[in-house]
Amino acid sequence: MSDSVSPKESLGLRTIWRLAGKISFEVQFHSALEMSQGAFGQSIEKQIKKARSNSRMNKGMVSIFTLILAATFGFLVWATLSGFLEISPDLQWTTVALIVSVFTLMNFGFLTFWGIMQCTAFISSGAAAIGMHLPVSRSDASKLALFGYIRLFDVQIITIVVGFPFAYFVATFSPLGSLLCLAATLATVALSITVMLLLAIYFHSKIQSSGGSRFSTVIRLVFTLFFVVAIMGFSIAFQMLSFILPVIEAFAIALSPFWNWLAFIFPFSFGLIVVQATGIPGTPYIWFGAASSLLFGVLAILGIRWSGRFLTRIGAGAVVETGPSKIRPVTVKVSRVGVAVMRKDLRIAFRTPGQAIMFFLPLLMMVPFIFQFFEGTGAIHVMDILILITTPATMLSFFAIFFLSVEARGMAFTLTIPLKTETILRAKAQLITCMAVVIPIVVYVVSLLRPLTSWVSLALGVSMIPLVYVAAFLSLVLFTRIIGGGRLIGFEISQHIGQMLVVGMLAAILALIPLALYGLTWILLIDLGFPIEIAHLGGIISVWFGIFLNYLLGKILASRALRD
Amino acid sequence: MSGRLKGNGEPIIAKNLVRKFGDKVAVDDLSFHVKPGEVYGLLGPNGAGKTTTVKMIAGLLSPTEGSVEVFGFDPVINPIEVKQRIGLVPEDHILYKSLTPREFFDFVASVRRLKPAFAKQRLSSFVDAFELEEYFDKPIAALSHGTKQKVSVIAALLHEPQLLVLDEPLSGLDARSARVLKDILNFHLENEGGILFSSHILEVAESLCDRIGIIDEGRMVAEGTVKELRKMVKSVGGSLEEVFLRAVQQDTEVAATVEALRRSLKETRRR
Repeated sequence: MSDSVSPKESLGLRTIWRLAGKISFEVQFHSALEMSQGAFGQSIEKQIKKARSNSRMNKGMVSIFTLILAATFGFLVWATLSGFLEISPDLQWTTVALIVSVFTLMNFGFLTFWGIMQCTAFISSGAAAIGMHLPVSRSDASKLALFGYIRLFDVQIITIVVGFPFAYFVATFSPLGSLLCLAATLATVALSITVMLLLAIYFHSKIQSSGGSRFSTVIRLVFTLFFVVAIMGFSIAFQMLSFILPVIEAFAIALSPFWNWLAFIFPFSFGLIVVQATGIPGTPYIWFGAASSLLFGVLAILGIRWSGRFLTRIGAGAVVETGPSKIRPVTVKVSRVGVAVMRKDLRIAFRTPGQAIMFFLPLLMMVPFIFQFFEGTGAIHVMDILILITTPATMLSFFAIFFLSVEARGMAFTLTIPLKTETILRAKAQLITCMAVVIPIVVYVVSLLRPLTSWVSLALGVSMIPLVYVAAFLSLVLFTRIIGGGRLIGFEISQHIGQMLVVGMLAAILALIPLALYGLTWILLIDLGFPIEIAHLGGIISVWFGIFLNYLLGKILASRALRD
Repeated sequence: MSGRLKGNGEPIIAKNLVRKFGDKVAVDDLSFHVKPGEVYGLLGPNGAGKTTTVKMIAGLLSPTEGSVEVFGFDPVINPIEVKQRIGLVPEDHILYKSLTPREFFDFVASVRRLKPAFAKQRLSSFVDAFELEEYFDKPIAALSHGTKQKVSVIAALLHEPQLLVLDEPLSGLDARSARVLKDILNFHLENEGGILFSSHILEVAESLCDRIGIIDEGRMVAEGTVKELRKMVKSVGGSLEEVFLRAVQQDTEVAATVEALRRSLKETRRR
């Protein structure tokens, strides 16, 4: 080697921490690139900038959420102990133990599911092995990998570890309880990192080795579901914050006889010892809880040590085994054009968790409304069902535009295939419509909880399927006209937010027209003295008439606005 | 469809093509044509306007001025007719990277409405020839540059197109696959197909192309057979590289740059 290179003994922790930031950014960049590949034709500088800001935003969002959750659960502890919640004193211990356990469990789930995406990218991107290519010692290369991994979740870990113990201290003024709370969150983070790493290794080896096999498809689906569960968990947890007091109370009462079992299970054992350390009277099975907490603590330490050793090996250039791949015979499945486009979009979307979540949007949007139906006993009015179904129906019409960017850079390939723009847009609208199928199913499930005042509620639910199709198609045609002059073009959503909002709003309004027609017809028929069932029937006919009008509008617009 | 769609007229007639991106003129008054059974090479340095020209021919970009005809069809007015007749291998791998080659070819065969038996037979032959079987069920994103190129080439050939538009088709291919592709191209020509070959690898162009058009800054600076081009720049016997550099007037500039680099490297060695 020439004297142009000046080797150094050790980089020092500060330099390693700084360099580890570069490794963690590289991993986040890989992850972000996978998530936002709508950036057709976008410069690499822009993508890097975007990946950087996305990473900051994601970290910020998760941290804010964790802090809100910590404050809410801290408040619940205070509310239980201060008498703000009307809980009998002999049930206070079980309520607080449950609050601590649920918070710990939620954070374990969130950290694991959120982290697994980036964790897989950490293993597959090869970023961890960067140190091996630098003129640094083996030990420094290993540290680079370890710190690079930790820096992926640094902000989240800090907020989890600091947030809840602090909130618990403010709520109880118990130093010992808060200290044990801190131990519980530390053990949770350690266990979460270990599980995350194990799952990432498993997914990496299976996905890489089995490619398009059925097993791999299932694995990928499970992987996607992890992400969806995390998003849904966040969403439901937030939506449930207003319902959480009665829920916690009900669960505390229901679970109180089972603590002899729960004392052995993570993280309830921690809940139990935190309550005992806080000095809340009546806490039972304390020795069981202490023993199993100790066991989980040891497991956490072993887990984090194994993680450290594994990451060190990765940093030293070790490769995760991917196993042998099975070669299957070459075949080709030729299907109808529309089906082929839908199948392709579906496959692409389900391999990008950020896009897969869209398929669960209607369900996510209906969740807060569904909770309302658990309360009360009377029959559910048509108006309540209308409120339940309107949001997902209009939002799906709005979100149709996102599906134009599903193909990401592959859009450039779509442009080379001999298909009319209308054919491609119709296939995408059909895919959106598949998501709308969940709307009548939810209405049916709701009807099992409490009776419906009229059959028309179910009919309205079913009507949302064609309604979403015509509104989604209209929005796709309008958007294609506006941004591509009537031809499909690759585009980046963030650069067309204005147009997307305008078109989305328009599509939402068009989707609302048939529903408005329902209301107007119903009122008119009732005013004219018709029986209520006839008014409902007239309303449903109006809905389908409105859908038909939108369909015609879409057909006319497509023939005039689309070019090819 | 199970075979080649016939079209009237010459594979490509480009007349006074102009393409502007804002103030930048990427293609400037470019005219050329490709005859049936001919390989036409479009050569030029990086940023000369080759890819923009290819995109206009394939109906992916509209010309600002001028016109293109592909077998008598205007890609702007009849993009579907044009896309049915061409097989495009773009410079950058524009593929659905999260799909596997198997899923990708299912899609390609379906949207091109190929008969299953025809698609199966052609696909099997190409997969065998390019030794792609091993990678058939791996996500495209996980494939090497050369393997992605093989996927791209097979997708372009699957429907037996009448015209092949190849933008740096040999990029990343190993010697064996490059040889296979050259043989496929010869077979394609025997069936009266046309080929537009865009490249900056001069040796390949020299061995494959019947006629060559050299473009620089969007303009055609020289056109003809290799023999004619050599005559044109009065360098008979010189390599195509010399012809090319002379045509784009970079021969003296390149020589000066190389000399400066040599001096700089010598100095750093002395230190």
